[in-house]
Amino acid sequence: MKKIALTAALTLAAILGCANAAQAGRAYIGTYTQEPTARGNNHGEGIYLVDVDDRSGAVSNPRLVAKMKSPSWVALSPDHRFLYANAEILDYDGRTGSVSAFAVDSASGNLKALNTVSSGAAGPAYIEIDRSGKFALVANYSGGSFAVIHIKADGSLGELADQVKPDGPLNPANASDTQPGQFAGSDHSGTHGHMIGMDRSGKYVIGDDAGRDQIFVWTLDGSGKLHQVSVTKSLPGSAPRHFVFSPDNKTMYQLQEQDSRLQAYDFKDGVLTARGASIFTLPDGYQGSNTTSELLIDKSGTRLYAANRTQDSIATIAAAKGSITRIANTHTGADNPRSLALNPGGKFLYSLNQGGHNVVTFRIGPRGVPQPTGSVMALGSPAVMVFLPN
Amino acid sequence: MKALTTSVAVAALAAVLASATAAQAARAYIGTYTPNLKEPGAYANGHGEGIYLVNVDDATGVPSGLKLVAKDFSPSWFTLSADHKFLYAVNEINTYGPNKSGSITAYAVDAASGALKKLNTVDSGGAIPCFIVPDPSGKFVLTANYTGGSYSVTRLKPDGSLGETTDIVKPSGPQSVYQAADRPVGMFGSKEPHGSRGHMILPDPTGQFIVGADAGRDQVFVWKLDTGTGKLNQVSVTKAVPGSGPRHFRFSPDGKTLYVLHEQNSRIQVYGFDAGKLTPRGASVSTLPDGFQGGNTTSELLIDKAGKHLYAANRNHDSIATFAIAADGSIKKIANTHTEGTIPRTLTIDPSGKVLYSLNQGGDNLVTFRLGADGVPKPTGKFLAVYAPAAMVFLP
Repeated sequence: MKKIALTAALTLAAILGCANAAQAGRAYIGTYTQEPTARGNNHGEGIYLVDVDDRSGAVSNPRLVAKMKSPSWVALSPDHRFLYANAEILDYDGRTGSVSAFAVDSASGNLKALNTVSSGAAGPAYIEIDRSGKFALVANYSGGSFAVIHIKADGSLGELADQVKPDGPLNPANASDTQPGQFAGSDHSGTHGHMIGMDRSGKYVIGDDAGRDQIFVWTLDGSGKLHQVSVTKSLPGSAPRHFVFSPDNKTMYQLQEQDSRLQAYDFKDGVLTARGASIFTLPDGYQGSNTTSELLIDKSGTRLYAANRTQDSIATIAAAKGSITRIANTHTGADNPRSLALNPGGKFLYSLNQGGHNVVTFRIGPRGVPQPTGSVMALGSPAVMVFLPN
Repeated sequence: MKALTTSVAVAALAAVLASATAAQAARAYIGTYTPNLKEPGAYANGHGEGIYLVNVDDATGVPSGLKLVAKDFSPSWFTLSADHKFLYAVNEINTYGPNKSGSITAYAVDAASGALKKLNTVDSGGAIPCFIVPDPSGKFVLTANYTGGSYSVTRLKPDGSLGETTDIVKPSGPQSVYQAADRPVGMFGSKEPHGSRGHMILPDPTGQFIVGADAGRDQVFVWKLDTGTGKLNQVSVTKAVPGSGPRHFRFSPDGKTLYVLHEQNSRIQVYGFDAGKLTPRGASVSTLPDGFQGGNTTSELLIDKAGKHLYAANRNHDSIATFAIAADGSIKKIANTHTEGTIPRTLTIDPSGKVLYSLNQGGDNLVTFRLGADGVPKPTGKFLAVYAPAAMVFLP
């Protein structure tokens, strides 16, 4: 009898354990998949849901919730009811990439496919949803465009509302201020839309063109049209790839892929003005190849995190009154970090190592520098991680 | 006037001394991968141009002054003759001659300048040769051919040039599996069919035996070389874990222990080595940090002169694993050190034993580490840009 009571207690403990796990954080991870038009040696199968332990930061239990081709970037709608993913492919309708809409089941985290439309051009690499939830903003890398796609009331994707396709002379594939021994040229054969996103006010839409080395600022009208406010030329060859805004929205930090540098800009009325010189994301004296990928800013706005691919590190950069100083480089624990993610509490940082086929957990330690926790989760070709709010 | 004369004289003397010192600094050759124009996506491919010479600062171990001394196709491995007068390099290609084979090239070394003078090039006996070493008699060079799946013996002529191929061992039999059962979680296996893959060939420290690692059929051969005929006669063959890919190996200084590094499961197996036979000792040990998951393949394995430490290179985790070797020959991993560049193809320890170099094929750099008292490599913060470096050999 006593034994049964004990069994009951254990069962209860198991149930409670489960309940705790269910209340733990959850995140979606997009991956590169193996299909003929994909670059590289990819092993993902689509979008995965993972559990995230709130205390240790460890990620576990990846399960495929949407099988699709190379969802290399994903974004939630502002109300978290819908998820949108770009398929970084070249052959939708024979010549473009695509974007898919999913309804999020908040209890299970399951995704229900709503529909798929063209991304407007080939190889979409980034997607963000505007504040109203009415438009998906998409950056097309290979096809060299920035697209706005209507979102219908039911969350599904509608018509293409606008597409900006920059033109003009081509730039060199290597920036003049790159480190010695750089052989990792960024493709400069045309425009490469690498990111599109909003500033903190929601008033402006910003687009990074990593092919013609320029940064666009637009406003977005109610019909989904982009109206150019400014265009800022960055160093030829530098390939502006990802950006973040300071919490006060007065500073924009721009990560350049090809020369592994970070440039700070004053941001006012939709116009960017370079502030000070750019800084390297690489250790002092580094020689050899490298390209950067992701840039994050913490909640306080005092720390930036930049991912180095090939040198395989996370650079921690201190930002104070707009001046930036690199203070550490932390080994990602595997090759080719495609992106980084901070958990909602800001205590943990994740490196999504596309080449290493794993997601590595770091704790934000003293001075804001990521420290390895020793927790590593295998996943084929991870590219992006987005947390589902608890 | 006197002051000027003196200062000029002193400056001139200083310049002479400086150049004398520089001339006495250590020198090393670095082999690189060169562009594979036929298969730009192939692994044996890089932006190097051939074999380079660097000066190495005796005090700091820092290499500098990279200069191309031999333009050649993917000299991804090379070796000096025992008298250092000749250098023999593989050409890791599959385009040589009608059989689409690889090749090996002989060079004469100019001791004073370090310049290399090409003597001749011959068929390596199989495609994608990746390792070459002289035999102990100095009469032959031994080559491992990766894709060709063979080991070849090439006779050396008195002038140091390469002569006829005296033997080619090409293992056959059933193919092995793609993945080892004891690989890390999340390790994706090779999709290539697994014929034999000659990855390394090396004499044991006694000079009595020749050992070959077959990373494709997962086996380690031991032969005796008939130094008259140049034929390899098999003494033993030892099966490794299927799919594990035994790639590089090193002997303890006394020749009684053999450490075999497996590429596909990132593990080292310790073997007793006696009369040309291998006997496994204990379980294999991972080169990766505890709890690692994801993709990784190992590349190089080194042992220090004292036989106290092993160094293994992890590609993708991009680290150097340091192992302490106990008196009984068993090993324990004590550290993983970031290589600071992806895909370390090989590691090299300098002649003093105080400096270790990581040749990062993907990082296009050579990174210098100091070996601490604990044997663990410590980053010096010194990088040298070299395109797709693959091998490094010091000139005495």
